[in-house]
Amino acid sequence: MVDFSRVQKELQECNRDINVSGISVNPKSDNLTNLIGTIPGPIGTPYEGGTFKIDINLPDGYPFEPPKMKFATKVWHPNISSQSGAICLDILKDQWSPALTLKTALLSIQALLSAPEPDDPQDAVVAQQYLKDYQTFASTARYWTESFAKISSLGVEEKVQKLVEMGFPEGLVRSTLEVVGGDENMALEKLCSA
Amino acid sequence: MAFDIKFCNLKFVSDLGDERKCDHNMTPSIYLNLTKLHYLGSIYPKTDPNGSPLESLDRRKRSLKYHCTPDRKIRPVPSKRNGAAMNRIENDPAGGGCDNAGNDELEEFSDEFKCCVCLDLIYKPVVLACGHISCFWCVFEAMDYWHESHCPVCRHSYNHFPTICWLLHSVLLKLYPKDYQRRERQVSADEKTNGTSSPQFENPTNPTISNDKTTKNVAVGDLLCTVCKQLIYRPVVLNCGHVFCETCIVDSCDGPCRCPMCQSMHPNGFPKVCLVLEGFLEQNVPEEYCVRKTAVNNRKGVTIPGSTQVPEGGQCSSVSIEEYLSNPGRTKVHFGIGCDFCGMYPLVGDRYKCEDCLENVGLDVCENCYKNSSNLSGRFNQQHKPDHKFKIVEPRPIIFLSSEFPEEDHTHVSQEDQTDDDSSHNSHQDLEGGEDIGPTS
Ligand SMILES: [Zn+2]
Ligand SMILES: [Zn+2]
Ligand SMILES: [Zn+2]
Ligand SMILES: [Zn+2]
Ligand SMILES: [Zn+2]
Ligand SMILES: [Zn+2]
Repeated sequence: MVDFSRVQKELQECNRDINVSGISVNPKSDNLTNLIGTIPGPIGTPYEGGTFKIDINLPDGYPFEPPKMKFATKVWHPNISSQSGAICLDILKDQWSPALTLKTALLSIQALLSAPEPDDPQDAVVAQQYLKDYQTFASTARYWTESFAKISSLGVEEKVQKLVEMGFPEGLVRSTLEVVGGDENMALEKLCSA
Repeated sequence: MAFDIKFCNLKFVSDLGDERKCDHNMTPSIYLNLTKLHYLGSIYPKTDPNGSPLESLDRRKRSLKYHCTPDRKIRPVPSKRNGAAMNRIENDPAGGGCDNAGNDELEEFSDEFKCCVCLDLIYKPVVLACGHISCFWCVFEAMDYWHESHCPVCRHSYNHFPTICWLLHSVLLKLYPKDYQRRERQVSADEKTNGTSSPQFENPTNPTISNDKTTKNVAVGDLLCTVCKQLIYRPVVLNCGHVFCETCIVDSCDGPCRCPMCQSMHPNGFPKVCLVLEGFLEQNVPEEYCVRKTAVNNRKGVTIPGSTQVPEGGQCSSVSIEEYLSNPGRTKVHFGIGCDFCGMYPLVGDRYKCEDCLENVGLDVCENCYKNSSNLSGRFNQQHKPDHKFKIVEPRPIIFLSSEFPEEDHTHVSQEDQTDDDSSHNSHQDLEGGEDIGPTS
């Protein structure tokens, strides 16, 4: 069973200095094993201006086993699968230590956005592009940031209306938006896959 | 101490992150038994067909480490994973966290004394050889079943579960009596639920600290080194939990490091200064600490603290697990079993099991401790008596399964079919690489 009292403490601590770090972690469901982390795209990178959501799943052995993390927001990066969002990062695998936290893991992911390691790729296509044609890589990454990682300026009612117009029932739209924290792209994805 | 590892309790994580439990029928890809270590071809990395046996062994070891995660439930469940914690969450969805409801007067404890694992006040502190501190249960739970363990903070490796540092325990109780007692209630409730037990502070030789409620400071008289009879300077904590000046330990040990108080061995060279404890001493008795610093430095003719060359110290642990894996068949390794006296985990060499201790966790000692120590006691509060009888127990055979074992390869391989050489390299599946290279899109 997951050490929930520790997770509670982590959430409190992380969300206390959210103004400084820009990083937040929130429960997705009430059992605290599924969480959503948010990291701002680092300034000076093709990810700047984007807000990236990370799906967090805590295994039974947490914090003695690493949390499972993958991008819920689509991202173009050599160490992140453009398909599944899987992240290639050592601290999420064998270099995990129980002294690390969800916040420090998210900070490492943010650092990975700033400093890709194309020699140890998760997504070979992206890595090839990064190495051979950096300009195209950067513009693709920027385009993906614009398309998938920008928080919409729409108000809640406008989002609801937009999704209802696409043919989803209003009740379901509202509850789905709530679950994903108001992110219309994620809501759409969820509605489509339901 | 013995913790059950059941063959079919193993589960695996593939690089896509999905978990797979042993279905009892999977072919064992590695078979460890009493004297032989057999690797099947499938676990060899295919990228390394001509690698030296040692090199590929090293890679196989690493694959094992990352892929074979024994189900944690088979271990004693540590303090925090309990019903109490769950209830707390249910009753306090806004996230009060600490169970300080109705008790606003809990002390704010210093961050230095916050356990990096449970993120709460350290309870029953254990100091690792690198000088980092965690709770008894947090250290135990973070230890590795199959390999040497690593400090959660600095990854310094160790093979012995240290004893609780009772001096630090008394200091914490003195500094934060309310919080420390809250932790005590919490942990003992959890231990009750889990049917486990941790050492109790009852030994008359344990350091006590005067219970003067009028002051928060600990008197110098309670912080003396038993070697030099002075205030402890640059404190080091040995595997037995006793605290001394760094210089007193280095000066008194020729070869393997031994505790001047209880005579027990300290494995793997000299421990590092416990900086948190030093910080406490400096703050608690600043003048006296400064006097000690000057005195020690004058004596040694060294002016910059910390620049003194501390010798490595002798090694005393017989065989490390890593060493064993490179020389299979030479020594026995008892996975999941630890020596209750010196804390070696997993236990390497002959295992002496007490036949009269009735606790679930049992009582086991290594050969060295069996032969050299008259006063054996358990790490989990076992009621062991000197007239108890011991017997030698052989290691249990253990089967490891590969997480990426190909379906079509489900042929049973008996231990005679495979030798330890590199005969079947061509069918090797790349375990290591599979993790790093990952799927293409
Ligand atoms: Zn702890
Ligand atoms: Zn350490
Ligand atoms: Zn001394
Ligand atoms: Zn001692
Ligand atoms: Zn021993
Ligand atoms: Zn006994």
